[in-house]
Amino acid sequence: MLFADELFLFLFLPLCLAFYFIMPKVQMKNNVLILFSLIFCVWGNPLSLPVIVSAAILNFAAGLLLQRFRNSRAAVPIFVISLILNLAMLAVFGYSTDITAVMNSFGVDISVPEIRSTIGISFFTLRNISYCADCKSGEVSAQRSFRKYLLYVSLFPLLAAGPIVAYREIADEIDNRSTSLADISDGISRFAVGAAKKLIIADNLRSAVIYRFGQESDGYAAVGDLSFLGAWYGAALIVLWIYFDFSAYSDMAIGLGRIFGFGFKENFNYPLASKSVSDLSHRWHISLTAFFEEYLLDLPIFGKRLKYIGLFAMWLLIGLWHGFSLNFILGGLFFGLFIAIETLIGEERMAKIPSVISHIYTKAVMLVGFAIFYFGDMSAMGKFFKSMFSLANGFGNVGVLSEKRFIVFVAAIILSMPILPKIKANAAKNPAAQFCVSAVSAVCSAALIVLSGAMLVGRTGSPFIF
Amino acid sequence: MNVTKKTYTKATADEDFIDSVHEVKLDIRSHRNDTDFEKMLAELNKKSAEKKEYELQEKISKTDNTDITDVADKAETPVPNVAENRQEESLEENVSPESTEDNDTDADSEEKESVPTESVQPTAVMTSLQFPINEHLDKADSHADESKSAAKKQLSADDFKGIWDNPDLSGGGRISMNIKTGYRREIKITVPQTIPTPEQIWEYQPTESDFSAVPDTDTENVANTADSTQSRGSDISSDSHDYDYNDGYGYEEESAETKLEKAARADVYRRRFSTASAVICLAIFFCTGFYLLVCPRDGDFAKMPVPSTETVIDGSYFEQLDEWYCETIPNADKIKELTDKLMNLLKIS
Repeated sequence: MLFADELFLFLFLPLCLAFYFIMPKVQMKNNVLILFSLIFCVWGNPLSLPVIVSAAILNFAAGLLLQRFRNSRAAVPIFVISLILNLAMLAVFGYSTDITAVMNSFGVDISVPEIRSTIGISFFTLRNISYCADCKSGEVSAQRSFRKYLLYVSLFPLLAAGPIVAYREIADEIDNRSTSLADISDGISRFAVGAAKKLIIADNLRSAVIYRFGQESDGYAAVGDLSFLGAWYGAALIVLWIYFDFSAYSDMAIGLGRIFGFGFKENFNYPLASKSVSDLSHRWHISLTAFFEEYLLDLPIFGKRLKYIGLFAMWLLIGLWHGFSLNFILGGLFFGLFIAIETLIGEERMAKIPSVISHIYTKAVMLVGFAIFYFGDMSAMGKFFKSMFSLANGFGNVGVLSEKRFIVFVAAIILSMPILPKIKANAAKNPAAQFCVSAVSAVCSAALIVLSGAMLVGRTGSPFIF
Repeated sequence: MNVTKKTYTKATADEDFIDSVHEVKLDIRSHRNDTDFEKMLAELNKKSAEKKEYELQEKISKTDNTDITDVADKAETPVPNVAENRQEESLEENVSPESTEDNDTDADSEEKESVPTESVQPTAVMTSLQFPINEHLDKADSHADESKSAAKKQLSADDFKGIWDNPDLSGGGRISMNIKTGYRREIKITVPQTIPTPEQIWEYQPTESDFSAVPDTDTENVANTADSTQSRGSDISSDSHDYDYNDGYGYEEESAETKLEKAARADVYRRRFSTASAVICLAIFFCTGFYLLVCPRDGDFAKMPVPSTETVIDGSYFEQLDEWYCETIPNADKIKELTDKLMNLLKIS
């Protein structure tokens, strides 16, 4: 079950909302959320249920132990054991197929039973690790109720694709939260925006990308005769597709969280408006970067002298987290390299670079970096970069402008810039403008829900990237 | 100043943002150095500033003995710019050695570039204060809890008293407040001509409607802050308290009450529309959901799949159920045709 799915929109969500708001007390509301989260989990993959419950038991116990032995020597081994077990679960239930494929490609003949990936395992594993680390350092008190911890681990808005919310951020809200009408309204609007981003923009951009490059299943058939212009245009399509697809899911998750009274952090902050790769890393999948910066980069072992080693280790792991595949590793290191260069140059000198140049530089790095992420096949990636950096297949023509989905491409570029918030902020100064903006927002939310629902009907839903 | 107060009211996300602040740097500039009259005023102010310099230093040194004052004590009122820039550098060395490490090599060139000619901008940079805060976030700090409580105390009205006493700001000015956070933001605040005292600002208690008057979703807060980062040099961020510093020059200052009234009225509209929108959206979800539960199904999968232990365990039952639910929606073909036409009309697909 996906958020952009008829069954979710018209059956699961209304039922969940009805039961949730019927319940008078927070603890009962929590029980409803746990029940629906476990159903959500089972629906995606029944094997996910025992995995997620086991992970919750393991980390719940680890949290209690870490709190008890926080100031003794036992804390470190307890934390290390919990970390190893979490990573082992991630490897077995998340990446076993990928790991086997990579090892077999190096001539090691390993056959393991094919295990379907547990839904959201890469996300809830990081949440569990952050919980244990915080319990060890004393940032949070360990949760004494398993039910509440299970809610944190399995909460369905966060389950499948984040954002990665640390336990300390919602610990209070698990015990005590309320939802106002404004929260419901804002949550629904946010959800509607996310659904529209996914169904109207991201899915069309995906079709345009597949038309231009092909996909892994057909060996990226169309990439062979790409022109120079076509390669750059296609790379831009990839960036926009991934951005709209992923941020759409985050929007829906944040919107749902708002409806249920949770205030999840923003996961994207107009990354396409960033002026450096470092800036980009703090605007794109913010919760992931923040997790690695907090729990890996800030480790005393890296310190000042090993700063760059820490940086590369962090980006290597970010790449690996996306998938156990060479293209993800290369993609992670590629971004890490530019961040290291920018760190060497220094923030102040980077700030002195004219805006136009810094924007062009950042966009170029993004186009190349996300193309690396897209091509799982190294030979196809090679052909793509050959077209991108040479005129082997000609310069190409501006025929792309007549492509059907070009208007989606243009709309996506406009919507990826912080224009709407500026309009809203300016309107907030003037009551008349505020009135218009409020009216348009209200109409748009309802219209987007109707349009998104209608677009789902009779279509095979395309899955979210993550 | 109101910016932060508004964001405090929202969810913990904003509190975390504030917690992530690790350095605050204030650059105070007179904003009317471009006219002869203002030059003259600035010169006069400078003279009076020299007289009051000693007083100001005393006031600053009276503030609490925390990290913030350790640095603030070193700040001085109008001094020649070259010296001041050097002082800024020395402060940076004291405060954030890591940040200066990258800049050491070009310190001299930066100094030359950043020194304005005094005759043109006599009080261009009047003072610069740099406050390291929230250093408790540093994991390496073994006394995290102590510094956390200390850091939270740091920014108070008293800490800024010295700034408001600065005579050079009597004609208005600009405080560039560079807040370094995990998110790298910068907030610029323009001081009005009639400068409110810190007490007036801190004692101002905004109403609930005042908070909700501005778009209050988390995205908008983040975006607004990001916007203010991009518009360096523009006068004020969108959701700050709008003191109009031009009132003495032909513009009328709008009273705070009028503004609050307007904001409250706008907020009423916003709430009404958002309530209507929420009701409509929920009605769509619930009505469609209920209709799809009770309506007669058509299509190839008219019969609901029956669960068995095997199909439930391997997950195929849920896939079949999903497929049945989606494929048997009444009039699905017509709806698809309609949306296709709409998309073609808009040249979307």
